[in-house]
Amino acid sequence: MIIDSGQVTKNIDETCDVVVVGSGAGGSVMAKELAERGLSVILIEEGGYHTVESFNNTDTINSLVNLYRNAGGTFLAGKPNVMYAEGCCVGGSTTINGGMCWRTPDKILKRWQWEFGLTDLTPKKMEPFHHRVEEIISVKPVLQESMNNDSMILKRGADKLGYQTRANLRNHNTCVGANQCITGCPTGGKQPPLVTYIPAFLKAGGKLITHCRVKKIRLKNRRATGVKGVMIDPVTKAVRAKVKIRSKITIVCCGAVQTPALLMRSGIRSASGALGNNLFIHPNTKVLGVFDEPIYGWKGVNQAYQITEFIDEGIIMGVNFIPPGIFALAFPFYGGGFLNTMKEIFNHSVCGAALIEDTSRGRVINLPFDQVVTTYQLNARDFELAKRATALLAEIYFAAGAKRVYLPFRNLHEINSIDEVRKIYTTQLKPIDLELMSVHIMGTCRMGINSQQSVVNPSGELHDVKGLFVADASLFPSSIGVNPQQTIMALATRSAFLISENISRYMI
Amino acid sequence: MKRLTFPKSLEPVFSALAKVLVPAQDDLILEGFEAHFFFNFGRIFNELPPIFRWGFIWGIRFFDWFPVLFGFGLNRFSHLSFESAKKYVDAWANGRLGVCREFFKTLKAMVILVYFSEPKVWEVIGYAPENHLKERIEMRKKILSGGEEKVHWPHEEETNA
Repeated sequence: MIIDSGQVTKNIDETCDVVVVGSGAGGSVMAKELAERGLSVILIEEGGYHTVESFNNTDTINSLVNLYRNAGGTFLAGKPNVMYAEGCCVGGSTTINGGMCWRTPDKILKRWQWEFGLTDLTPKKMEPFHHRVEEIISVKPVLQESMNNDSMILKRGADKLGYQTRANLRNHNTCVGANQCITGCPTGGKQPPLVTYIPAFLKAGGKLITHCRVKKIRLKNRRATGVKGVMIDPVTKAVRAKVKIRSKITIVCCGAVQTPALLMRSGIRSASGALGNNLFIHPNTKVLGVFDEPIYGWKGVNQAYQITEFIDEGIIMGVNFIPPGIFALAFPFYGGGFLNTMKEIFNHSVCGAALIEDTSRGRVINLPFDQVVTTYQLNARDFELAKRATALLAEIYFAAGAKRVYLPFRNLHEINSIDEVRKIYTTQLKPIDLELMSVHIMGTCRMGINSQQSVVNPSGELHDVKGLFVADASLFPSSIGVNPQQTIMALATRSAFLISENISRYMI
Repeated sequence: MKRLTFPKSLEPVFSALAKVLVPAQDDLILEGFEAHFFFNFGRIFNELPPIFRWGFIWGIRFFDWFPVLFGFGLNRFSHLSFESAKKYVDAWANGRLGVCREFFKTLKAMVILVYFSEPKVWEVIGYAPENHLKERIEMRKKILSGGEEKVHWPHEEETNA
């Protein structure tokens, strides 16, 4: 059953076993797994419910407005400011991501065991949860029919230089490479929770409330007893009704920015002081390579390959098509010739990004009227890593035959040969000169056994509030260095299993 | 409290700014273009958090009303000649004041994003996703209705070789 703000004529007042706030990678998994175990579950989503059929258009602005938080206009304040994107629709960011699936790297799990006492998160113990997720969302390599030129060019460059590549595993069922992943998959090929977990949740009798913004978590004697929120008109943003949900278990899965913001807004403080801190973002540097040959990056699958040669250093690289409106933002210039340049290079270029396993930290700060500000300061180590990642990607493009490469530095826009790659190191560059963006926000409610060091315990429950769980990327104690979707889903599956095993503890 | 939406009075400023950032070319048919551009611009603007919307509007007003502070006389930006407007924009983009540079970056990003999301501009740069999308939907139907799904797995190719 789906309730949207458009259908609501009076306030909503409901009672259930479990209320899940946020329907992304964590929330959809939690909702489905618990509903299938016979619990009455209400899933609340701030954005709207958009079906695959509704994605059958190519209007970028429409997608930004309907599927992204603040139409994509979200940023982390710092030097430099970093644009980030997160989904605000049923399925959350999984509806608008490229669908890359990675199990959590062993080195990361080992680090979490040592530093945060998460001894149950070994590769062996996580295996059944990853396996379950992989089956449900159909994780497999891409189809031959969907291969495209930009990925092949990246591989060609990497092969020439002897760099290791990985044929990506993606969650898809016959993805034919429409390459509209970031504006909602119009073919139904991508298998995000929107077409897997959410239908299974609804089939199990779950109730989905859309366009509902949760304002506060209800607390009584250090125990969560539900949530309070409002139904919002998607166009005018006016409040249409109030929502009150009483529940035995409350699960917050709003992402690493909105989750700590909601907890803090509800008056929750963590003894560790870690709530809202330790924000990691996997900074991305965007690098464009221009080639003589026609490429048509929009014809074929998104990121068929990633370069994993430097994964131990904390760098992975890939190429992905982005619509012209976002593509054009990569250029530092403007004025006469801009349109001509776009005309000349759009179908001859490869847009790549290097993802960095960061050690810099950010913070989430609540402002009055439910507003949130995020800050992030790039440290010297990550800045050097970003420079190295940019240089490596430029080198790969030139090895593949690029005639020109556009760089993400304010005072070093363009290089024209492999010899000029050295300019990245010889030019006087400061962090503020770097253009960064992010799509992986993590780590503001970190998990651990020690309540003086972490916000939630190893099963995802807050140390300081009973019956209140977190199940999204904010759990991560550190940056993980690979696409986080599958790790979030596997951890949520694990939490759902732990909750159902110990259900009597919560059904008081 | 009334929700702040994109004011029509700012359209001439953005029109002038778009002309400087991406000067029109002959092969771009401009009929109906501006109306659609502002429609989309308004949609993006209306999704921003209130604090940004207020800041943005006052920033734009400052940008429009104070070329005098940058040595461009008592004209508004939207009334400057093309050459002067270009110099004024350069002063914001490359000036010493970080606040101005950052504000301009946001302004430029919004204009460029909306401009290059226009289907008429797509035609000019050779991006035609509609037909591609139709082809791929058909291709998927064919594969699902009995065709064989060939997974691309390079390690297999290497093994076979």
